[in-house]
Amino acid sequence: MGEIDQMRKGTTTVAILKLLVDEGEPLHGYEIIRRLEVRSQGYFRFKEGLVYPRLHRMEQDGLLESRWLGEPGTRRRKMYTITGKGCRQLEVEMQRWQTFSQRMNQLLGLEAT
Amino acid sequence: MFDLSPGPSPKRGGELDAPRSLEGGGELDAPPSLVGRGAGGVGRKLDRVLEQVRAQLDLDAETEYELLEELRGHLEDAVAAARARGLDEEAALAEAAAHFGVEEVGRELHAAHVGWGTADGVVAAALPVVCALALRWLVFAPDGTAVGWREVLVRPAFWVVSLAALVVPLLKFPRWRYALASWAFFWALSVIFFAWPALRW
Repeated sequence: MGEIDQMRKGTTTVAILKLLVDEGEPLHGYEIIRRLEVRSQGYFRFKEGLVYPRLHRMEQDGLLESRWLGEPGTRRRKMYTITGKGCRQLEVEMQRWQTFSQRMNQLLGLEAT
Repeated sequence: MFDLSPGPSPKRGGELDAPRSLEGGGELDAPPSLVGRGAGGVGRKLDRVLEQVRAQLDLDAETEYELLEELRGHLEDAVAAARARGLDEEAALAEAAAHFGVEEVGRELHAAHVGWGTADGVVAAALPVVCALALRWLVFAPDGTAVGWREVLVRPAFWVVSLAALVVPLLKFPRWRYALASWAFFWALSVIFFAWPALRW
């Protein structure tokens, strides 16, 4: 895994939550991955399969909910939407990220204190 | 890295069972098997990739089935996208699988779901018993019998306990069938208390 991906790894949850809020519609896993890559203009490359355990953990934590689209026996899609708890978590994470990036920029001398 | 070579991948010690609940219909009302569901060669090769994921899983059959169905959809999309960019079938599948991270996915999915099932099992077993005991001691006559049971129906505690035995599992369990089974167990216990008023603990 590249250094960029290591740095990005801890932000996958907030990136997924923000994407789902911005898109405003249920998305399946493949679409989530593609749109995240488009939003980062290809800068971030996700180990695609590992997004699914993350989605499932987020669902267990109540940040997302899912439903299957399509009939059993046909090709179905598991669609994810953000929950109220997920929206609140996003606000917290966004605030945390802003503070973190601001402090880090200050630490590196990229931003005036 | 995934293996596209013919033949099954080993599942813990070399066994390769067919997808368990997927054999012969079962309750899932779904394709009888993931194996060979896809179109032609691509479908079979996807099955081999999914077998490698499944080899890392040791979950209940329904959960495994849903996980693999979701992953299959992803891989089919990824292969289709690669084909649309001009790759041939083999190269498209190799690219899709390489980006996917087969072995890590299986391990991570197993880790994400294994504790969940255990917690469900504990709650599913304990909750109906707790609720039935609550009903017995809070609602029924002090001696543990159901004397005057008609009065029970107008007591708020009766409805609170009865609904809690249904609503809590519905909210807690990922599958509503578990909640109904739990609720049925609760009523079975309560009926036992009702039918055998002499029962002592």
